[in-house]
Order: sequence, then structure tokens, then C-alpha cells
Amino acid sequence: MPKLKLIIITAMIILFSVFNGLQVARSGIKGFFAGFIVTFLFFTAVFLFQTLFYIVSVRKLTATGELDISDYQSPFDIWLISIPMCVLMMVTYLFLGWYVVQVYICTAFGLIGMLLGNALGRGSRKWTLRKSMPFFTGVIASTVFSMLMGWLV
Amino acid sequence: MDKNKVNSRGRGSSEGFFDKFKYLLLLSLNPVGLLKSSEKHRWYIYLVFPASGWLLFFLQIGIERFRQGMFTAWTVILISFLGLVAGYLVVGFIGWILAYILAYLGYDMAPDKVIALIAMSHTYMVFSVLLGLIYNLFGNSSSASFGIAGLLCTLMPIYAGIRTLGKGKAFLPPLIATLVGVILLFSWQLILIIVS
Repeated sequence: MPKLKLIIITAMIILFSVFNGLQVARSGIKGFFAGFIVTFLFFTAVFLFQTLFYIVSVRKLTATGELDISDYQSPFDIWLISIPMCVLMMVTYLFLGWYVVQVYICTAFGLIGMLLGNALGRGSRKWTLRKSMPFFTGVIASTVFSMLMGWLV
Repeated sequence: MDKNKVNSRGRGSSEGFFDKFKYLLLLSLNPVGLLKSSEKHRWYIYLVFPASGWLLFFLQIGIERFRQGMFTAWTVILISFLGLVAGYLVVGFIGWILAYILAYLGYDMAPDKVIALIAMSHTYMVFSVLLGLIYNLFGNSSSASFGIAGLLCTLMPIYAGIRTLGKGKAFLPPLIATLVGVILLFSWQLILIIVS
């Protein structure tokens, strides 16, 4: 099951990268591969960092009694929210003709970061940087990505 | 104060108004809380919330196209009105469909709760399109970006709500969120086609 989820998440990352590549190519300044490679590498880096940070944090928070292990949510389950985002991105691009792939990617970083933070117990008991870190990194990733796209497009 | 005259949300007193306002505010920020409540919800009132969000979104699109010379003032009013009506009807329809799907899957969830959950999930969308409208008034055009960001934020509480109901079914929340999102997007497209 985790393997299937990982395959689906990878497919979503590839689709996001393909459509962003198409959008970058549409602007005519840089080609498809520039957009594709930058998006793929950046998205993969964010995914790996967020997921590994979450797994390590859950262990620490559980060890100190700040998180009940029965509340554990698989990070892959949380990343599955990229499915609706990716499908909607394709519908928007292909049927509505709105070329806003970057909005989808940036919102995905922000929202998934928020969900990972919530799963770590963000907002409950004592505030710690560890619990809020996925949210902060999601926002930072979103901002850095939009700056990268400003450079590409 | 005679406590017997005041119910749990304190209707019928000045204190009751603030209690009710606080309750609605908390509910709009955390619509999943609706699933835990046992009382009946007046879903037809909750639907005013997404309707206003859609009104603001289509008003933004209308203003944008008016500036580009594609719409007249009357078309802007028409598209905003269509947004208001469609927001009410489509979100209600989605809630009804979702309640049916959940019942089919074996989750005993009253339709009024599901419709209220979907309606209150539009808080972040209302907030997003409101920001977009302010941005638009300064002469910047990005209604699609604010609308899409709002729509994605709307899916979050729906996702969380289905997740709460369907524990252990990892693929159910993303699939239902996809269905809801696709219906919302195609409804937007339909309104744009009607007006264009």
C-alpha cells in the first residue's frame, strides 16, 4: 500500500512538472525542459524534506509524550491531497484555458505543509517550532517557487 | 439571568447573539466540528456563505473583463448575479450528492450536516476572493489565481471531514475532494459560457 501511494505521489509530481513545463514554454522565454526540470527537482526536494522531517518529528514528539501514537497519520496519506490538486490543475489548463499551474503548486506546498503541521499537533498544547516547521517550510517553499517562476517566465 | 430561558447557544438574549456569532465564527474556521454536533442544521442559511463567495469571484472576473472591454456594466451585474445563484444551488447540489455517496458507502451522515460542512468550507474561499477583489480594485488582474487558491482551500475542510468519517480509507478523501473540485470548476466554466 505505501508503495502504491508513493507511486501515485510521484506521478502527481511528474504531472505538475509537465504542465508547468508547458506553461513556461507557452510564455516563450524559456523552453519546456527548463520549467519541467526546475519544477521536478524543487517539488521532489520539498516532498523529501517535508516527509523526512515529519517522520523524525513524530518519533521525537511521541518519545516526549507530546503526541499520542494513535493520532499518527501517514505522511503519504497527507500527500495524497495532491491528487485533487493535480486533477483540477489539468482541468483548469485543458478545459478552462486558465494558465495558473504555479498557483496550484504554490497552494499545494502551503496546504500540505499546514496539514503536516496539524498532524504533528500544531496549535495544541505548548507551541514548539518543531510542530510548526512543516507549515513554515511550506510557506517558504511556496514563496521561493514563485520567485523561481518569476525568473523563468 | 434565568438559565432555563437560554439554550446552549443562548438564543433570545444579547449574550446569545455574541454566543451565536462566536459559534458561527468557530464553525467557519473549523467546519469539521459540524460532524460532531448532534443538532439539526439550517443548511439553506449556511448556503448563503458560498453564494456570497461566488458572487465576489464572478464580480472580480466581470470587473476584469469590463476593463478589457469584453463586458458591459450590465454583463458584470449579470455574471455576479449568476455567481450568487449558482453558488447557492451548486454547493447545495454537491452537498446532496456527497450525502448520497456517503450513505451508499455506509456512513450514516444526515444531508443537512454534509451540506452545512461544504457550505462552511467556503470560508477560506470568501477570504481569498475578498483579497482578490481588493487587489483587483487597485488595477491588478488575477481573479483566476485568487479564485483557484480559494477553491483549493475550500477542499481542505471537505478533505478533513471525509477523512474523519472514513478512517482507514486513504483514497476516499482525495477522490471525493477531486469530484467536488471538478464539479465546482465546471460550474464556473458553465457560467462563463452562458455569459460569453
